[in-house]
Amino acid sequence: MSLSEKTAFELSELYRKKECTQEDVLKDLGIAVKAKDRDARRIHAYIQPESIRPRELKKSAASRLSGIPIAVKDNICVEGEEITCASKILKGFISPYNATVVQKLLNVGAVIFGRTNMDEFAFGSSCETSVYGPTRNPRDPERVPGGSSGGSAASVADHTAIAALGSDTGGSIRQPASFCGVVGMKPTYGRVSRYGLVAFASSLDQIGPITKDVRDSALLLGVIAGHDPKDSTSADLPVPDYLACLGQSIKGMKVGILADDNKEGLNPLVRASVKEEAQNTLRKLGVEIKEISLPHMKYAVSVYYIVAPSEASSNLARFDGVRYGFRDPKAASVLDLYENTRGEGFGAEAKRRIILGTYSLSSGYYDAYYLKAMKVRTKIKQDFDKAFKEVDAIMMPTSPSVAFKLGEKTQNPLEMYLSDIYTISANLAGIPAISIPCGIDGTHGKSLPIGLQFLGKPFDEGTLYKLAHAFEQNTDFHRKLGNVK
Amino acid sequence: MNYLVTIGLETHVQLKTRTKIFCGCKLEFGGQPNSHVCPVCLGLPGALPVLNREVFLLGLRAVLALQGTPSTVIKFDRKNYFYPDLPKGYQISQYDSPLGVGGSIEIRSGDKTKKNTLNPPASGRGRRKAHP
Repeated sequence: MSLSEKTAFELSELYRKKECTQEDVLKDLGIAVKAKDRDARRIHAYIQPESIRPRELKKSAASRLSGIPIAVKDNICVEGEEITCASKILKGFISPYNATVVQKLLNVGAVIFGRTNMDEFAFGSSCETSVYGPTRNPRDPERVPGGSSGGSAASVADHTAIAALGSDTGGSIRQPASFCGVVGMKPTYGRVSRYGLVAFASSLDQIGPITKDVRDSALLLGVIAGHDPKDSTSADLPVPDYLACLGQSIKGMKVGILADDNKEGLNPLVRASVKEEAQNTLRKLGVEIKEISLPHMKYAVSVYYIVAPSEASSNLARFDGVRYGFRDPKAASVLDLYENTRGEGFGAEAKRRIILGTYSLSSGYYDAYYLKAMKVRTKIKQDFDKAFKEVDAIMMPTSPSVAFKLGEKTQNPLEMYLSDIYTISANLAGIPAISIPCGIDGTHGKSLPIGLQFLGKPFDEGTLYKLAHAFEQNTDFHRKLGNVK
Repeated sequence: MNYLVTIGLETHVQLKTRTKIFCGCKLEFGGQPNSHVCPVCLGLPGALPVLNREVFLLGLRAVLALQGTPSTVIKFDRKNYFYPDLPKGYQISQYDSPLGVGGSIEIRSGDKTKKNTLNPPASGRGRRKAHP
């Protein structure tokens, strides 16, 4: 068995027993990347698989993550490395600094390993809008890995990474984790510093781990979480010991389910896995399942597509060709420089969102769109506050479907947007949510993973880990999905 | 036709702080080129501003000195426009929830003293126009 198939926790045990070294792991990962990502199958989880240079601090403390390679999404800054957000407009830009999460990983001895592919500026749910071309789903290369952190999820599922960092603005960690059959955690807004994460929608973005199992997720979040004086929106709260949450009894816990179903859009197999099998599993473990209602959740996608593009239109203004990245070499005037650089540098989806956002922020439309959307956002948050008075967590599917085929939704942006229907509310409310495998759809000739999502109270990631770990240990889908053939 | 002359003043004041308003770079003249810059003030991708405490305190002092009302909630807004010396593509400003509002200043002209009211900035000022 290749060491690339191990989890971070397993590797740290092997290191402790001196049964393997960091060099052995990097060698096996290198072989895996070469065999799986570079050549024949072209999963393309990494942007430049041929030029991965593992990075580490020379002197660092011994910890569980010492010597563990972590893949990083291409919108998180690593000092001295090109960061492009999978966009032409940033090509050639080398970050002169480390994101706080990267620095924290380096400080505990982790190795930064490779940059994973993504939708351009995280605008997408399929990893197809990358300027480098799409990433494919290791469970079925005809299908998308989900997005926008598709490269991170695919690398973990394909064992070309031990664990990875992604970012989640409307489901970008959880939906690809669901499609690829791995574990994805979007922490509470403010739990993890955003310093060094290229901003998409500043009020929604969070960095989180994508891992092979729940234990690794708890391990990684424990390291990257916590207050950062460089990010005013990071919460000054103590970080609990997430690993201590694992293995505890969940008997007597209350989990809420939605009374009203998204009947049209929900795949029947996903419904059966989440609504029947998963609920039964939890009941057997002593969990009380309670119906709750989130009456404003139906507006979440509409609210999101006002708020997120509005913030994006402002955040992407800095990419103008004046200081770094791509610049139109033929521009004869300042105006030409802006127009040509942005015209050629951004892809279609980025342009669509910039135009959408600029429109909703324009005077005359601001009150009708942006301000109204922000009011509905508050309603959505209040729905969750109310529900969490009655339950400890809420469960629902991560995505209404299993991984769809490449090209299936690229011509219909609205259909693409609707694939985030279950994930977006957590970002709008700022609450944590974790996606774990809960079933397998074998009807397409391949084993396509189905994902289940637990949503929790603000800063209560511990409860989510407790639930997710108990569920995982009693279902073992992460092992049943097993190795990709 | 009789006109009534109304003069408004927009006052810009530089604060004598040790560091810049949104990052820890030194605020002093005469350093080596590029020695007082960092990812934050260069507006590099991923960098985030953090308000200088001293700026907040000096601003508050000005609000109180002018007998204005300090706000219980203050918020910053972005004024978006493209210009080559604007690294982020927007200025960080305050529209509808500034540090303080109101207050007045007395000006003596000859033997007359007039109390001039300070106006809060009009809400939405500088927002992008839909149809320029």
